[in-house]
Amino acid sequence: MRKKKEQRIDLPLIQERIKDCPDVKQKNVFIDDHHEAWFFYIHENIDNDLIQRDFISPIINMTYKQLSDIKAVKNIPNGSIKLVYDTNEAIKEIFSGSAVFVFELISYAISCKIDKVEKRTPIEPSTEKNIRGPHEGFLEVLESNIGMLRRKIRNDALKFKTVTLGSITNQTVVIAYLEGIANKDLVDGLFDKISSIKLDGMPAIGYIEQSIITHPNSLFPQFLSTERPDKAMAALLEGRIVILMDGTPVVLIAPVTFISFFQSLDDYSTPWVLGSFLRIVRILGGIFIAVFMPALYIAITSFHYYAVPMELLLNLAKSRVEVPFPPIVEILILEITVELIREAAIRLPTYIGTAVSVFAGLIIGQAAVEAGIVSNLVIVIVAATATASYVIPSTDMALSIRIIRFIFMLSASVFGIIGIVACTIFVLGHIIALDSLGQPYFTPFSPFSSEGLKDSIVRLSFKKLKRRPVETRANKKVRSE
Amino acid sequence: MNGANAITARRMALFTFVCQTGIGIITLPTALANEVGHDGWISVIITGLLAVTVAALIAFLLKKNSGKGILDINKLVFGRVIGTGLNFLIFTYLLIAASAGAKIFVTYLRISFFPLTPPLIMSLLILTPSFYMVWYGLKTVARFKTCTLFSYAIILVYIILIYRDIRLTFLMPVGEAGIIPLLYSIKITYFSFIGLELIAVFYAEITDKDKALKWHVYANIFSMLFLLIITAASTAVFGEKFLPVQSVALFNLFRVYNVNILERVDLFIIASWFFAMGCSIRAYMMASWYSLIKICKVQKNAFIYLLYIFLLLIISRIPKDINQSYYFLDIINYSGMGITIFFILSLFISAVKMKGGKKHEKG
Repeated sequence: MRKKKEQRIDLPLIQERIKDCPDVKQKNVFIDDHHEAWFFYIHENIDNDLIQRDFISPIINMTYKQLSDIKAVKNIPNGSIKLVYDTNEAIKEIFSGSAVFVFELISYAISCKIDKVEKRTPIEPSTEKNIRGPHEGFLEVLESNIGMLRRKIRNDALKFKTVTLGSITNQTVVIAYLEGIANKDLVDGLFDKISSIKLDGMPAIGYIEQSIITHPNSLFPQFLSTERPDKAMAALLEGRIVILMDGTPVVLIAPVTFISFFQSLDDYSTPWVLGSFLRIVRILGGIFIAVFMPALYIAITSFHYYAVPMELLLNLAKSRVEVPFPPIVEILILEITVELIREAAIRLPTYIGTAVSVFAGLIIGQAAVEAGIVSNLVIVIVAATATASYVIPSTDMALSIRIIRFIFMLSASVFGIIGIVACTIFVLGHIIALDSLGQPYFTPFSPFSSEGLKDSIVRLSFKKLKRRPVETRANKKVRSE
Repeated sequence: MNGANAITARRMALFTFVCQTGIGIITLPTALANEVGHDGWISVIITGLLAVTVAALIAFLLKKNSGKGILDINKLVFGRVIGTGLNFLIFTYLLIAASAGAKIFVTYLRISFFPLTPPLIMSLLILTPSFYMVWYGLKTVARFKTCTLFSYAIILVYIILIYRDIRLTFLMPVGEAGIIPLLYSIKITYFSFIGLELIAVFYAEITDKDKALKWHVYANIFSMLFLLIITAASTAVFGEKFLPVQSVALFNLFRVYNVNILERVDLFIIASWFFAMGCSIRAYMMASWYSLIKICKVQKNAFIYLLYIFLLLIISRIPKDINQSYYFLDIINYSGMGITIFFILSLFISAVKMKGGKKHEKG
C-alpha cells in the first residue's frame, strides 16, 4: 500500500493511450485555481447529468489539501467512488465506462461509475414462449440480469462470482449459484474452467460454452441456454449453476441432462397430469417422430414393405408409382427444401418470413407432388417431422435432432431397419458417454435413478418431487429443508 | 481402477446378465429340443443352479484375493512370465469370443434381413457403436446395458400376448427325457451361462466389492429365470416336434403373434433384440480390450485400438458360412468352460496357498 501511495498517476501515458479515441472526453479543470487536473470519460457511456452533479461538481469544489486526504475523498456523497493507484488500472476504468479524475499532485486517480446504458424492455424471448409463466426475458445488460435474479430470489444465499474474460474486450462473466445448495466443488471447478479461457473476446455466450465443454465434437448441447429468468431461477433452486455474460441476454445452465432440453416452464405451471401430458407429447414428437419417422418410411419402402398392412401398402404403391426417385432421394429433396425455408424464414423480417414459410410450404409441396418429384405420403411425413421438431423447447437440441435425422435417413436407406437400430445404439452410446460439468448426461435413465424418473418423461406432483435432481450433486438433497 | 472403468456391483450384475442372455438365448430352445425334447426347461433349471453355484464360488474366491482381478492374480500365482503368458491366452479367448459373437450376429442378420450384403460391411455396421463405447471404457459399456432392459421388457410383454398359443400340455409329461439325457444337456445349456466368468476380469474395477457376491448371484438367477421363460414358452408354442426345425427359435417365436395394425411385429421385436445381442458381443470386446491394456501396461492408445479392431474383424472373417460359425462358437463355448475352471483354480491357489491378499500385499 505504501508503495502504491508513493507512485503517481502517469497523465502523459493516459493521454497517449486515448489518442485517436474521439469518444473519450478530456475535461481540464483547475484545483485551487491554479493546479491543473483532468476528468476522463466516454461521453456516450455515462449519465452526463449525474456525473456532473455527483462527481465533477463535488471534486472541483474541493481543495488540493482535501483531495490529498483519502477520508475527504471518500466522503464525497457518491456510492460508486473508487480510488485507483495504477495508471493502467485507471485507463481500464475509463474504457469500462467510468469517469476518472486524474490530478498529478496526488498519488491516486478517482473513479466513478454512473452508467448510461440503452436498455430495451424485458420482453418474452421469441424462441421460448410459454402460456402460464412470466413473460419477461433477460437483457443485454449484465446488471439488469443480476437484478432480475435477485428480485426473484430474495435471499443472501444467492451469490455471484465474477470473472473478467477476453484479453481485448475485458468482458464480465458472472457465475450465479445458491450457497449451501449448489455443490461447491462444481461451482469452483466451473469458475476455474471459465477463468482459464483464453480468447480475445466473446461476441456470444456460446464462446464460453464451447471453450469449457468436455465433448466439443458432440452434436448434443451439454449446457442449457435460456433467455428466461424464471428458468434460470428454477435451475438455481435445483442446485444448478447459471453463467451470465455482459452483452447477451442468453445465460447458460449446468449441469443438465438430456431430458432437461425437453422440459418447459409450462410443465410445472400446470397441474402435474397436464404437465406430464405436454412433456410426453414433446418427447414423442421431438424424438420419435422427428428422428425416426422419415427413416422408418425409407426403411419400409426400400426394404421391409411387408411390415405395413396391405391397404396402406397399396396406397403407398399408388402414391409412389409416378415418382422416379428412390425414397431417400425423394425425402432428401423435401427435407432440404424445408431446411431452406426454415433458414430463409429466420433471416427475413417476421411478416415476410411467415408469408414465405406458408407460400413455400404449400406451393412447393403441391407442385412437387404434381410434378412427380415426391409422393403425397412423403409430404405428410416431412410436414409431421418438421412440426414435431418445433416442439423441442431448446433450439440447440432441436438443431441436433435435425442433423441426427439426416444420419438416420441415410443409414436407413442403405441398411433398412438395421441401419436405424445401429444408429440408435450409436447415438444412445454417445449420449451415455457424454457429461455435463462432469455429471452423467443420460441420467435418470442410465445411470438409473428412480428419484430422477419422477421428473423426466412425466412430471409428478410437487409432493413427490421432494429431492433435488441427482445430477446437481446438491449439498441439500431435499428441497425446502 | 480409473474413472472410465469404475462400476458398481449392481451394474456388473446387469453386465453379466445381458452378456449371458443376449446371444445365449437365441438357439438354446432348439438345441435343447434336439437333446431332451420337451424337458429343456428342466435342463435350464438344473444348469442354472449349477451356474449360480459356480458364479458364487468365483465371486467368493475373488473376495478372498484383496480385490484384485484375475489378470493380476495370475501373475502373482504363476510368476511374471508364465502369468503374462496365461493372461495373453485369456485375452486371446476373449478376443475370439467377441469375434465369434460378431460373426453369429452377422449370420443372423444375413438370414433375417440382408442375404446379399457383404459380411464385412455388416460387421462394420453392427460393431461401430461397440468400438465407440469400448473406447470410452467399462463405465459407458455397462451403463448402456440399462438401455437394453426395454428389449427384455418387450419380450416378456410379448410372451404374455401369445398366451393363447402356449399349450402347457406340450411340456408334459415332465421328465420324460430321463436323467442321463438331462445331465448330458447341461453342457449345452451351460453355454448360455458363459459370461459369468467376466467378473474375474473386471473385479478390480468394482467400487463396492462387498456387494459383488450378492449381485453376481442375482445376475445368474435372473439369467436362469429368463432362459427358463423363453425355453418353456418356445417349447409350449412349437412343441417338441416342431421346435427342433426352428433354426432361430427366438426370432420365430416373435412371428407367432398377429397384430392388427402392424403387419409384421416380429420385425420390430427382432430389431429391438439386436440391442441385447450387441451388448453380449460388446461385453467380450470390452473384456478383451481391457485385458490387452492391462497385459501391455499401456494407456488408452488410438493406434493400438485400431490394431485391435483390425484383429477382431480379421478373426470374425474366419468362419465362412453358418455351419462354420456355429462350429466356431462351439469351440469358444468349450474354451469358456475351460477358462471358468482355470479361473476357479487360479483364484483357489491364490486364496489358499498364497494366503490370498495378505501375502500378495507383502510381496
